[in-house]
Amino acid sequence: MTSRDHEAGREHPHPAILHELLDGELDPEAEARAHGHLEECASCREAFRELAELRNRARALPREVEPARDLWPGIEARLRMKAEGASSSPSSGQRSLDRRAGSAKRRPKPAGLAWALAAAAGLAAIVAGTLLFTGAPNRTGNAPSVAGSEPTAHFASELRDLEEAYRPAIEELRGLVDSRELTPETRAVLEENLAVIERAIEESQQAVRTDPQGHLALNNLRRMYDAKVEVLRTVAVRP
Amino acid sequence: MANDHGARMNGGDGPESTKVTRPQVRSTEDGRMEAAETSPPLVDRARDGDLAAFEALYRLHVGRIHAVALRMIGDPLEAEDVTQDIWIRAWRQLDSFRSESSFATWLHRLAVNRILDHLRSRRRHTSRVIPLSDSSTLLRSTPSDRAEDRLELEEAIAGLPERARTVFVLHEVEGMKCREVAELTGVAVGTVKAQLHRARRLLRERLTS
Repeated sequence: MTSRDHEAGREHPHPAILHELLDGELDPEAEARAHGHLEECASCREAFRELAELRNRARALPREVEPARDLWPGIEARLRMKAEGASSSPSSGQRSLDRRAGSAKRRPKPAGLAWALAAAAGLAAIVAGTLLFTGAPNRTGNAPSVAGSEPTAHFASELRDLEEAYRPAIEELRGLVDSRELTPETRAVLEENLAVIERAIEESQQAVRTDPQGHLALNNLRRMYDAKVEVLRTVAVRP
Repeated sequence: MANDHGARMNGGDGPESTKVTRPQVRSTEDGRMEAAETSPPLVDRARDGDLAAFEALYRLHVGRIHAVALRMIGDPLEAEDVTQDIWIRAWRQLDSFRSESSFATWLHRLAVNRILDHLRSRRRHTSRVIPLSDSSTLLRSTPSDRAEDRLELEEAIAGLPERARTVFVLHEVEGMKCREVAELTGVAVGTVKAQLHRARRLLRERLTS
């Protein structure tokens, strides 16, 4: 297919030809014809140059982009929870983890804990604060409906699954944290930040119940659980 | 995935597993990352249940995987969640990895499949296009003086319609063939080409306006 340039009295190839030329998908005869046209036609030459430049720019984009936060603590927590489920259900085929590898054997030393907690709690508070400030659990901007609304059937099960998935790790970490000797100041900072995260969790849970975009609120809820795990884990395992 | 190693668990707190050496990384001809993994290979150790080895694999590859997720999804928060899911899946499916191919290639394919699943699921829940809300995340690893050019292109890509963006990222950024993209996305090669041409046209308009 071609289009006619009346002013120059010239037939232009269909735009798809330029794309296929760029992608090396024309047969030799068609390719030679396309190159011949480009030699004569400045506008097609310019169009082809722009396509090639776009590709070069796309290929030059960074191959790696680190996430804004460390995702590993959340991944580790979920793997450990899945492993627990697997150990109680041998037929599930889940890869298992050695519980010895968990926080119990990484019993922390006290030095440096305050700094680590401040960093972890600060990050969690920023995340929680951002969500609370922006109302992120309800990204559609809808006003929350009546408190205590029952979640839809679909999200109700996902909400339960999420809570069940994180509960064992949070309880275990909480037990480890409670068994540590912390200064009153450190414990106060810990509890204060856990309270902030807990409020964000409640907000997110409410959003899941009331927001038609509940799956987005579920993502935010998972992030809040990750933040809680990260704060507890920091206190439980960091020296 | 059957796991023969469930009873012989190795979580990574012993003297062996805590000393995970960061593997050397090299770039292949097509720019994809390959890990020149130390002996014993991290993947084998992770397959045996060594979580520290799996964390080392995560540290090595997460930037590459997150870049694909972020560009294809266009929303940083969703991309982080999907990146986490990809690693959960990778752990569960490690036994399906065959050592004759590279782990990076296997992981990349697994990641793209998970991202496509996510996009399909999002399409079912909402037709709303979610714009890239924090483009600065894409600039953290690009401190060069061309950062503004890159940001402009990243924003333009994020603003593409979802299907066009998917095809453009896989073909133009990731370097896949149209046939490979068609296989992954489950559409005809002709459809992939049409979306690719559309994406390029929209980007040219956006970038030259």
